[in-house]
Amino acid sequence: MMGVFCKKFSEILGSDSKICGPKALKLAKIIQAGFPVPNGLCVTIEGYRAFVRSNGLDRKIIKEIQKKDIDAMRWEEIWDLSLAIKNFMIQTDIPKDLYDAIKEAVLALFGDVPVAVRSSSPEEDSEKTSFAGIHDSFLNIRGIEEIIKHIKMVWGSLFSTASIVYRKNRTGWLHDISIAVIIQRMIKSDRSGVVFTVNPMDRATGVIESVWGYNQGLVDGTVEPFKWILDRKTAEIDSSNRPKKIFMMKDPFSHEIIELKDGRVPLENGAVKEIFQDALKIEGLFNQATDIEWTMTENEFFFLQARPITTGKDLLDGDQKKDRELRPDLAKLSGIRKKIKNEILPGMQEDIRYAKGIDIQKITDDALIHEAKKLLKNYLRWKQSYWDYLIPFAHAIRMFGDFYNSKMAPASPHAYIGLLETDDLISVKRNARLLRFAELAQKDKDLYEIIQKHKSLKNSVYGKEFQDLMDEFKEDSSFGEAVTDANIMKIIGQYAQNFKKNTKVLVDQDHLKEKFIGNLKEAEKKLGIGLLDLAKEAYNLRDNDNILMGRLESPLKAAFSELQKRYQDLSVDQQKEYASSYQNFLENSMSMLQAKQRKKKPASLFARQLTGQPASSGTAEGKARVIHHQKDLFEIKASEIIVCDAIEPNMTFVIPAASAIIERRGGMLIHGAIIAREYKIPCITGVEDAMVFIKTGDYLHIDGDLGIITIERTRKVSHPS
Amino acid sequence: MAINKKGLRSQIQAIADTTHFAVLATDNDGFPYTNIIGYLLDDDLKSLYFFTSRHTRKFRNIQKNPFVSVLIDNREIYADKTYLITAITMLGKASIIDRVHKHIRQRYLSRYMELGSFTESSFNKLIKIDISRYIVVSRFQEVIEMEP
Repeated sequence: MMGVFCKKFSEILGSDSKICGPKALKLAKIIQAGFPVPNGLCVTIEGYRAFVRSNGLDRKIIKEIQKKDIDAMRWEEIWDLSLAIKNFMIQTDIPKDLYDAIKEAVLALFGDVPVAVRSSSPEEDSEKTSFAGIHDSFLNIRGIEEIIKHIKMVWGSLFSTASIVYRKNRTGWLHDISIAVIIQRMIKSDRSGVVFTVNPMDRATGVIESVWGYNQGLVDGTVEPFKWILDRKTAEIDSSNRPKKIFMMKDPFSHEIIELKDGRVPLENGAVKEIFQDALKIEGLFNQATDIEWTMTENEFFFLQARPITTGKDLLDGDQKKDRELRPDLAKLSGIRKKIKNEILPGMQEDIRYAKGIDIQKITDDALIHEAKKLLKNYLRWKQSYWDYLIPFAHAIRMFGDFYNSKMAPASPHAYIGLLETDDLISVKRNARLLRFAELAQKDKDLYEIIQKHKSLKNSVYGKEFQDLMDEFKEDSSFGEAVTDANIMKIIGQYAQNFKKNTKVLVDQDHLKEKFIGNLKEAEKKLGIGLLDLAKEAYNLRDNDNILMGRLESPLKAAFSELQKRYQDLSVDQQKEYASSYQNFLENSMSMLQAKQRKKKPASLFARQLTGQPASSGTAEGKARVIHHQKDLFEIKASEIIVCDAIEPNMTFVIPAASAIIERRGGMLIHGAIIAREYKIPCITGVEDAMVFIKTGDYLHIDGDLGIITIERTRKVSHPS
Repeated sequence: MAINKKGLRSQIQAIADTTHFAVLATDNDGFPYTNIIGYLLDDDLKSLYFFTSRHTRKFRNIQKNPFVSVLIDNREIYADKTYLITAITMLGKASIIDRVHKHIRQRYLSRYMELGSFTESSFNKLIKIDISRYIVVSRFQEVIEMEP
């Protein structure tokens, strides 16, 4: 079987393109023409096919892909999909004949030396498409079990977010795709670079770029290279260029970059010319303009890979652009954390404190307009930081998730969340205060009656505590005037009816952490612990950042509302200033419950069952409470099922009264999902048509493990049932 | 919005165009009774036609209780790929047509060229089902009901 599943570079023929992919084929051609290439082999597409056909893996993949229309998925949902499929791959054992073939080939060629495991997709490296960087490569892998695991990870990267996003827009079909894998002797790079045999800016010349250390920094654009332009006819150097500062990627996994101060150039002019001459010969092998990656140890030179210079424009659509921008990067994330901790959070707190100090009712009209403009300016500044830093920081969670799954191969792809959950969410703490009132009301009949009838608590022993709670609510909530004593009592009343002792069993995080770290190799521990640490902080911040934005928005709303009251007394100029600031605020408010265009349900169409992503497990049934407006939140009755566009952190106070959550917005890490898991109630996210088909009062059955909602509705039937 | 009437209609039409047979369920004295039938679905999705002998059990069942259910699906195409299969259940009322419109016969025969003599036999009758509701099941568990 070895010949079907594995082919050494020296054995690969032109006719093997379809089973080895062009990357492997090109390397084979270069090595067969006598140029130095690290020795290697290809695990063919037949190997991938045998793997996915075993254990029903191909069917599981289709099941995941078909769960929802890919075009309707947000990037975050695609990430969840990708994680699930990659986890299937890691968890599935490869068939014995394939395992034996790979083991035999790897041991014969490499013994126990470290290798690089790379993708070779049949679609990669064509002139029309630019697949570069979409599939994964892994460096420095040692030992047959680790090699097999990383082969599975390259196979899994056929379903990386980048790959899914790329394919859905082009081929639109994810079912019958496959990938080959290259295993190559690992070269410890002292310096590296890329040759472009044709300079896209001037076709009479070619380009050589070079950096110290590994090529990754050059390829992903984080390290600026030294550059030479050469004449294609004479191979003479026309010009050269050195970077202002010299950096080097020390470790291609953590992307650690260090600055080199000694100013040395990685290539002598003679070496530059020699590399270019060889590159032109390689170009001749393929008869097309080629870019070739190369690397050097102290005394050996190697070509690493060659591909045609893509002539098509690399036009990125929205999702692809987002995918590139959001690609996790440890160094970048650590920098973001520092900025958030040292600048953004303290800055937000300071502005919140500033807003608290303004006595809106008492200041003059001019002063009020001035303050409203200032609060708006602050709000907009933090909103920008929110998008620039806080949202990207959530990728620390995803980066950890990927890392955890690759090391632990857990049964559930989302098991990693267990290590991140925290009791430190602001919204959960606030809900605890509401819950305490509910608990008191259960024991104290008088209090229960006051709360049920929304009477005043001013003269009761609970007066002060309730006032404190109201103050916190008013500060936190962006619902402004909807936060009245009566409304909050309504919610407490519903909590009291739905009250269950807090039976939450906290996952033993210490034990999970120990198990995770114990499973890492010595060299991986620092990275693993660092990632966990970053992810925990990002997870915690995921909810809290929105609460802080709410606290910035709340006084702003109050200021505008006060201006509205004084409107008739304002001068024409003041009215104009107010109107333009208020318009600016409305356009920029992050509150998702602003009046939205409601989608109408088409007549004569009814949903009997809808599906979405199971985001918190368990089952529930009860009446639906559909949240279209802020006021709907205060109408919730105990044990109802909340159906909404998205749960905002400022809405989470209704959750302990509810028995389940359904959200249109999708993802495992959105607020609703986080808070549902916190309260151990089922949650289904990404139900595209939930708000259209479900009406308040519909009776629902929720399966939070499968992501299924069954809708019971009494209606006239024209057919006997 | 992902689910809409136009999309559902074209989904139903596509399955009717690409698959050959339907399963008909009738009431056999209080017990369900199923058959495979060759069928023709009208473009407006309001009616479905098939021919059957006057002496069949399904014909007798329909005479007694005209409320029927018909299933079409694309499992022929997707075989074992559970999540790609779409199943369409139609609920409706059957009636026996005495005079077969030329146009209906022609369209029926364009689907079942081998059944020319069958449709002309005096033993056989054309049955028309007026469809009152479609139940479309896709992605294994997504269930949408539609009135044509």
